[in-house]
Amino acid sequence: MTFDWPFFWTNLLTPNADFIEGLWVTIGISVVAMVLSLLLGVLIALLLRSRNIVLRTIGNIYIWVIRGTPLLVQLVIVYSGLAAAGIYRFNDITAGAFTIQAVIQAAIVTLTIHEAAYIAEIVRSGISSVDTGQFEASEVLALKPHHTMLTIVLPQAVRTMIPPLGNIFNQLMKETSVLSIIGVSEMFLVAQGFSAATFRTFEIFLVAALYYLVLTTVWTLIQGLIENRLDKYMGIDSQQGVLSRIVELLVPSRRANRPGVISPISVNDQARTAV
Amino acid sequence: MNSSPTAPLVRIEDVHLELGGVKILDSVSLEVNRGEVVVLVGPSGAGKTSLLRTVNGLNPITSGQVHVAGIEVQQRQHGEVTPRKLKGPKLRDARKEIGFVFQHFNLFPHLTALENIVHAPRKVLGLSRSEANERGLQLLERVGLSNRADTKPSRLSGGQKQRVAIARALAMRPRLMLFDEPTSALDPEMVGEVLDVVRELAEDDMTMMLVTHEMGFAREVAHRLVVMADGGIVEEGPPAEVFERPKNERTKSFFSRIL
Repeated sequence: MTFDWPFFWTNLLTPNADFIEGLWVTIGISVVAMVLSLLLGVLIALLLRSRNIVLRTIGNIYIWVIRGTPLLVQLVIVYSGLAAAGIYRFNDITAGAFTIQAVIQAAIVTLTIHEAAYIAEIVRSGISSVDTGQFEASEVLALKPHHTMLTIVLPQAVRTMIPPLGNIFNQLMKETSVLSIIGVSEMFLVAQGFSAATFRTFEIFLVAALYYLVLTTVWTLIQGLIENRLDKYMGIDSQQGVLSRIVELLVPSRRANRPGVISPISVNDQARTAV
Repeated sequence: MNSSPTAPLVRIEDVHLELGGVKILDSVSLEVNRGEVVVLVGPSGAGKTSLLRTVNGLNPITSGQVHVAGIEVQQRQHGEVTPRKLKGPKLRDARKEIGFVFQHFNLFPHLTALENIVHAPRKVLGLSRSEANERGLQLLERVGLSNRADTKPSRLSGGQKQRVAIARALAMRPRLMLFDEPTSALDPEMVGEVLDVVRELAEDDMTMMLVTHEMGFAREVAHRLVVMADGGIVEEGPPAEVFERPKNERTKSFFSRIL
């Protein structure tokens, strides 16, 4: 076995500019696609909960088709298929000094459509996890349905939705490697080009793997932090592990260190009334 | 509809309620006057809670009609299809006049006590933050929880939660308050603090319908006691009279089991 250690370390610790750019493309596409698919996913979840059977059916068919076909196939259909059929061709969009490549647009559109199908199911189950008493309490206070959904139900549903949504984002970051097939120069494609030029396939892909690992690890920590904050928001004791508690210490919440914000209750009093 | 000051605030006429082929309410008619405190008692399964829930439209009825403060809450003919859920602006208008207190409080867990109270006044009545907070803090003081304004429900005791829930209902300045077994989910030592709040409301001439198993309290606070059994009203009258000289057999057997 030959393993070029110096090559490996050099590329791991001081990656060249192309690699760094590929990393940013991976992160950028992941974040944008996640945000958009959250919006679309909530919309489809609302279709699924609609009392109108047509809307419900549309939602169900969407999920059935999108979850039932591979991302890779969807990607090629959106980017190459639509163009070949003369339906739609993605073109670079330039705004000032900023250009969004056609392939990146296609990538974001496809990932959004793809992930939204999974997110819709998560949002739907999150909403149904909220106690019916919450809906009734909103109703008797004469809140309109959209107020109930946005200010009462979704904020509570979010807590149960975060772990599965975190999984989706974790997967999404790794799935961006599929985008290489249509020529998005994300981390995987850059690594591939590098490997073809140097024949150091093992070393360069190990470096790529480690970078993906760093991305998902950072996300895991962020997710733990979000869960801790939401637990506090919901007024429940956090069930998070040691790791995210350490992160919590490193990133103190704004309120925690500000004296005088806590309501004037003695410690004894608080302990007595705590459930 | 007549909503003059002398007209009854609540008019329940010939209400039938069936769920899955089972008769829950069977031709119930009841009127509640302004300032009157009506307490509903009876064995479990009698339909007390169901009747209370028809008054603000939480239970869609099979037939009959319900009006509150001259606003139609619901009305249905025999044979008409009963929707699973009622909705619409007219119902919301009626609900602005009706406060409802649940057995299990149903406070919003992600909001503080004060936020729970001011949420609907801000969103529904369009009060400004400062107006709403002023109203909310007054109500918290009224239910004896001024020092809990910024506390989340999970840090409140059962009795405190229910007092916040009452304040939340009052924040809409309703003309009618409905209480669905407000002390049934509480530890015994917390029942008193909630009943005190209800008693004060009665003294302030709030119109109320109250379902309870606290017979001593019912006798003390009720202007009229309504005894229900098997989905119907079997007896009603001033509490002293009904307690001491029940006329109906089912009333007698109910009292003999609980008193």
